[in-house]
Amino acid sequence: MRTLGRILIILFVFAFVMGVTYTIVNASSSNTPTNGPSLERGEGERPENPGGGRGNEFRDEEEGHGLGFGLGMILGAIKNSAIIGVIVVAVVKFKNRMQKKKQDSQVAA
Amino acid sequence: MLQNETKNRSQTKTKLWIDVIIFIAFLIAMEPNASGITVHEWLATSLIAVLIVHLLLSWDWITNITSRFIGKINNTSRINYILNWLLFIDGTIIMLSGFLISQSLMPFLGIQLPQGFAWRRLHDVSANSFLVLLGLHTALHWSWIVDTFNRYIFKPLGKLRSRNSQKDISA
Repeated sequence: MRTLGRILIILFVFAFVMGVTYTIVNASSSNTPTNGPSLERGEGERPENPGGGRGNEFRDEEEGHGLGFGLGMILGAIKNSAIIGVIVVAVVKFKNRMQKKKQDSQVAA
Repeated sequence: MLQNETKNRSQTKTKLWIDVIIFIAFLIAMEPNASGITVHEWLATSLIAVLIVHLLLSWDWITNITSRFIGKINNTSRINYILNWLLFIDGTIIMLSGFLISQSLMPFLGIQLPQGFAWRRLHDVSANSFLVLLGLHTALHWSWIVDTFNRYIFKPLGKLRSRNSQKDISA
């Protein structure tokens, strides 16, 4: 019962954030000036080729034929893991340096 | 006392495996070009259930920091708390924009939605920022990750290996 209540709280917050996001995005896209580049497209339409090579990527996403499941997946996973790895190393090093500084200043005091 | 310790240990183990599953699923879901849009959408949607379990396992920490956020808590916990909220909001935006540009899941459920370009852009931007936030989240929990991996994976594996080598010697 307690777990069910917690799940409902999580889903409620989830729905609330979704509602707020939906309202903000809809309001901002309806406020876009008509003479400028409109972000919202018509019903059922897809971007033809926004921002260069996006069109082909869109087709690849539909068919899943990018570089093939295996190689494409491995390369993508390595790239994303590397990004996370770089962030982890930077933050952990920074944290360690700060802790060392704090300890040094405590010893000096 | 002993019961509590056993409960904590099994909870930590569950947490570790759930986090590993989330991480692998996230890496697959981040590559729709390779996996195909159907796998991407169904996998990402099923991640909602796993993320709910992840939150339930951290519930005590969440309620504890929520009630003491304005008061006295250390800076790391405060940063962690804010970062977790950003992750939650960003994850929700990814889900919402994903549902609204869905080509497989929503049509399968018989729901037709207008395909807005704004939602596609938002989906891309929020997915990229999720990667950065996940990196920060991992970094802030790095000592827990290393400690738990050592305790529940590397040490038992080492013990198993040494036991096997002893068996080989005695045979």
